[in-house]
Amino acid sequence: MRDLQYAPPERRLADESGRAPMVETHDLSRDYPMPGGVVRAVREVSVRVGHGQLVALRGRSGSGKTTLLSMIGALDRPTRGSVAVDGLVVSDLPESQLIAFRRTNIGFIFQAFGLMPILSAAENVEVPLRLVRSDPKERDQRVLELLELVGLGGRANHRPHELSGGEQQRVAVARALANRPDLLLADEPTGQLDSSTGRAIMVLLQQLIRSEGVTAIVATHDPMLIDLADRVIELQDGRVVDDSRPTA
Amino acid sequence: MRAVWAAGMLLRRLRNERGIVLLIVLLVGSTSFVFAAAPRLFDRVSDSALRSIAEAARPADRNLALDLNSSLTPGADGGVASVRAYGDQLAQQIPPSLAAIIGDRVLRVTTVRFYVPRPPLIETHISLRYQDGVQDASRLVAGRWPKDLGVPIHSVPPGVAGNGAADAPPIPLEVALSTAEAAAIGVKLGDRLSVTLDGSDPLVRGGIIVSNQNTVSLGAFRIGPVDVLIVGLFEPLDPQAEEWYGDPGLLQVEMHGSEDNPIAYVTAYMAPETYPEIWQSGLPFHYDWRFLVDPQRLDAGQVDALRADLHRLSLIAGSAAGAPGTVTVLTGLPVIMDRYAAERALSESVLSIAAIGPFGLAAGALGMVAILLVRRRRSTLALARGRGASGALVLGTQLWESVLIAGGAALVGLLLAILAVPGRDEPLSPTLAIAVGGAAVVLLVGASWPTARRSLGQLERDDAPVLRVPARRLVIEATVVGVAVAATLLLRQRGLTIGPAGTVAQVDPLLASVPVLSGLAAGIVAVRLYPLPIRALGWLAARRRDIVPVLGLRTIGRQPASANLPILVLLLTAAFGAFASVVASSLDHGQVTASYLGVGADYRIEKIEIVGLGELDPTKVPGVEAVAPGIVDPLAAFTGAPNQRASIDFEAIDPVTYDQVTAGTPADPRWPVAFLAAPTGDGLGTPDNPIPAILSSRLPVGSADLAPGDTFRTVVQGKSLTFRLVERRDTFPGIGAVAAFTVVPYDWVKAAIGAGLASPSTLWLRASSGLAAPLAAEIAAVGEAARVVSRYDAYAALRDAPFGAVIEAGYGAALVTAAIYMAMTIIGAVILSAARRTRDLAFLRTLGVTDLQRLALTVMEHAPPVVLAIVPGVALGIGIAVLCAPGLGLDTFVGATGVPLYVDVPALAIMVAALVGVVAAAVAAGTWLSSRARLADALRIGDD
Repeated sequence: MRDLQYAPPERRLADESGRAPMVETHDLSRDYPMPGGVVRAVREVSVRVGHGQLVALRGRSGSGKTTLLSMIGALDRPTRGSVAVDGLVVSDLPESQLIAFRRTNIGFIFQAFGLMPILSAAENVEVPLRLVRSDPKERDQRVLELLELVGLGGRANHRPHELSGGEQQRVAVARALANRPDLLLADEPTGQLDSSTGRAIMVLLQQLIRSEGVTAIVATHDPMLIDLADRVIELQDGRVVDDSRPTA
Repeated sequence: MRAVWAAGMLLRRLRNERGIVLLIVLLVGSTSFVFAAAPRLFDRVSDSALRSIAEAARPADRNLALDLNSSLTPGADGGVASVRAYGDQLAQQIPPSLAAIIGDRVLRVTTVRFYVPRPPLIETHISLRYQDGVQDASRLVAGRWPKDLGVPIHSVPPGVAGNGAADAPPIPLEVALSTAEAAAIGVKLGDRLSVTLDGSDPLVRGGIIVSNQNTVSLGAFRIGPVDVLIVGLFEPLDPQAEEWYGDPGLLQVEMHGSEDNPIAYVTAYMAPETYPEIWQSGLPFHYDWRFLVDPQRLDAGQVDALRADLHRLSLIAGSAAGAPGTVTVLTGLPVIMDRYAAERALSESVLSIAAIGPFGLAAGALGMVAILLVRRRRSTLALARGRGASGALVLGTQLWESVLIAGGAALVGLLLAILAVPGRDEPLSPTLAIAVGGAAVVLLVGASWPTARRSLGQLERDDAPVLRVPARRLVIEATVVGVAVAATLLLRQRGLTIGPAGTVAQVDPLLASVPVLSGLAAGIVAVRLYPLPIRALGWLAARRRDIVPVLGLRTIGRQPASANLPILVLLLTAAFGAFASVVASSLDHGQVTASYLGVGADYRIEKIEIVGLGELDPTKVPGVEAVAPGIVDPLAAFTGAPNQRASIDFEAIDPVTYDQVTAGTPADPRWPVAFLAAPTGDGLGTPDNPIPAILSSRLPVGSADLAPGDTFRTVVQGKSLTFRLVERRDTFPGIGAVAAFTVVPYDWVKAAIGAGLASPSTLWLRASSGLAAPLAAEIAAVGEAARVVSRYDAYAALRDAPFGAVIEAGYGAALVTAAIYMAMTIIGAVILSAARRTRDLAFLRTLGVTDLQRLALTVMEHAPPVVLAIVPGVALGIGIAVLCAPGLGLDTFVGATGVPLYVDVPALAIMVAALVGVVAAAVAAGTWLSSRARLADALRIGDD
């Protein structure tokens, strides 16, 4: 299978210090034409997220959190405006380059875990590594390292249905980190977990972000988890209505 | 009130699931329709087959004849009116089932035999006969039809010397003879033959007869002088016409005696008014009342009644056979009925295999739809169980719903079948419709069983990959495999039908289901075994860097149990398709072979009279590639032992040109080496230089047990030739297995008797189809009286014979039906896995899987199971055909014995391509459905 290449360097944006923010959106909007009229899911959102931050996206259901994450993660294209990740304007990239971009730069964590039921925990974690054709030895080593990191070193050969919800989400976290991405995007990662397990996952994420130097944007409406974030962006009807640090 | 509430709930639920419910109704209804309509269609074919068999039978077998030796008094009306009236009385005693199929009647009155003391040519014996319809069925060649001259024959009282009236002039009796008879005994129009009573006739020798209900014991008869006047010569318009009843008595001389002392027995036609004149002498007569069966009045539904009545009639006639004045019943109808019943039973057996295949696949398709329905209801059922509904209640509800939906659909299917296929009531139709409905109910309830019995905790999880098979299931599967093996062995040993000898055999359902059972067994084994190599390959692929092979192999190696159903169905369809293809191609190939063996070449031109075809040159007709000349005499005089004289089918064939005519065909004779040598030496055809010959395994009665190297004599065109036996054969192309025959090289015969004398009477042609008419035109153009026998026509007759045709059509239809059910099952499986697949692919795409990788993954996931199902399936189908061939009885539908199985590779390839095409279309549809999901929606999975 041919390897995909992406991102010509000249398309990268940088600030005065010479380093571009990890995520920068400019007047980002996403409209959905519907039978009853156009639904404006995200409206003129302009945010900058620095490196190594854990950002919480807060808002009620339908406020635009998931749509914003989709555009940042290059899963969806904006109707207007632009998205740049680490200085690269991903909203303008062709699909072939976006695939390569997603493989190496973004790690996704889903509410429904997104694990393949027929694969073991280790096999699920190795999927991103196989997509970039890692060396088998390095791949196996990285998988073990990641599973140890999320506390599942002893359950590498268990299948998802043999793991609890929290354990499945840990496997998903390990898989998201497999290719050492710069940016982690998590959409309601604790949505299917009880509160204590959810908090444990968020704590784990926080630790990993610190240890791996990753930037993370987590969409959640769980108030208990907000206090773990470095920064909270609140969305309402697709607009940013608050952008602040959480109170201790 | 509760019932109304429950009905309301049910209707609301069905409204919400109308798509899948409609699918179940359509599937059950159409299956019920197919299986209810099939027996009714078969009944119609059976009627046609019965008529076809009756029409093909000899008139003497097909019709009913009542024979009586007696002396019935002529009535006041004269002629044979009183004899006809006596026949009417007899007809009233014919059972109603027989009377219903009789269309016409023919009366024959035959005198005792007369002897011609001064024959013109050879010893001659003559009988006089009146027969209805002779004048309409003949052409008067010379003279006129005979009339009654009004002079009665007188008997000579016992004790009177001589003929009793030495001075009285002979009584003249006018007769007409066929031209063939006249030529054979050397008489012509206007000849007058003096005759006396033939003392060798049992009736003339005397005995006990019944005359008008009175038993009379008579001594030897004597009559005054009688002359037979030949006033007319006639030819039959068609010697095979129904009017002749298959009896050549009035048309040809019956030859007896020996080569040196031939004796001719002739039957002459007399006027009906002559009957009273002969009756006056007191001579007895032989009366035949022939009742002609109209094949179009035959009804397969009446066969049992007809067989019973015929059996009763034969018992009555048999018990009185030989008694004085007893009417003898002569008919071959019981044999025809038995043959029909046997062919029908065999057809039912062979077709039952064709029916059981689609039935099994219909069950697979319905099972898949049932699983789909239960999967859709899973959350609802889990909720119901969570709120206190017991498993029994869930199953009970499902049972009532299934009875309403599937039972109703099956009933509608049955009614539609009755409306669409008019015919007599067929009890098998409702039985099969009920079976379809019942099977549907069992499958629908059975699919709910795991959901109703599983613990609530397990219910809320997705289907987990099954790596360990429960012991109970393994036992059931092992039982199925064991039963399949045993049934296959039984089928090979006993054939498809069961029943004591002498009765009409019945289909054994177990043996008829052998192909399906074997397919199922092989499917079970394949499903249990195929994950092993797949996992081994997956383990090897895991060492690679890329994702597609390992992910594809792991997916198919760890599928849930429900994913095995399409593999099972595909294997079953491939096995059934291969079996059906082999059966159909063997039938067709066997019919082609039989047509070659029956005719001996593509065409055979036979001179009607055994004289030369010297003027005819068939190569003038475009499309004729090769011609082989020869002499055929079906009644050649054969002497295979001292003082023996018998008839044999003599065929002198030119070996070299016949090789050209039959090269590469089943009629290739594989000549003995001696036939290919040129005739050499003096005295060809004499004991000193005999001609090489092939002789049939079966020889005429009285022949010595001839071995290669022995000699025998045969008269060829009036010349007695000596032949040396080089080989004995059971059959020879164009002759068949029944007749005694000898085949010799034509060039040797020609050299022995002279080219001018040995002009060919038969030509064998290699030519394309559709040349019968041009060849007939060419024959007419040169003024020959010859007929063209076409292999293509013989093949068409075999192919279009009702039972053979319905088997071919039945297998074709069953294969198409099976493919439809297979497609439905696979589409169902794709739909069943579409949600999981859509979800998995959506997550994979977020990780960076490309469209090309997705396509490769689809191929990787589906190609190995398809190959693992189709390859063993096809091999299994061929294997079952080979194993079952002795029990299928295909010979009956081919018209030859020892039909070898024939695997038509192109037809199999087309069948496999069609199956792969159906699978590919179903998978493509499922993949397209999966790829329609937006990538961004992956983040929302689990929102609900």
